[in-house]
Amino acid sequence: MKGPNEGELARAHVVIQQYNRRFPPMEGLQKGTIFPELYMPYEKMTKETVKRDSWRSFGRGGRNG
Amino acid sequence: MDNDQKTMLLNIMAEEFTAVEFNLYLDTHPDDKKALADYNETVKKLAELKSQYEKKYGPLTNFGYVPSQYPWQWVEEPWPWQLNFA
Repeated sequence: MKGPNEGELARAHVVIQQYNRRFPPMEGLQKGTIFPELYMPYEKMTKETVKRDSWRSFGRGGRNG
Repeated sequence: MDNDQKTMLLNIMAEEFTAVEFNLYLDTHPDDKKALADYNETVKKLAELKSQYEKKYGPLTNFGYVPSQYPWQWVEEPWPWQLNFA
């Protein structure tokens, strides 16, 4: 049995990107990427998103709680 | 600087950004034929846009993409801080 400080380190895993579609040049320049699968803008903060994403809700009946 | 010049510069920036994106993608996917074909097409388009711009407004870089016209145009180009795309 491993002690609390003897577990494995984190391992990063990234799926290999596969190109098939892209944004037109001007749209890509504005979005910061030409690859739709990499376009992940931050949502504007609202009361609802703050409530939903707040660390306070973790472990209290959420997906993993 | 007129609107047409501004638009041409913006289009060059957009095409160049696309070229860099393909450049980075191909660094990790050197065998991707579709990406390579689209990269080559983008670079060709970029060269065309730069030539068109330079013929009309003068060189984009100090050694340019087309021969310099008379009189020498380099010093007539706007400085980066004179561009306002807003």
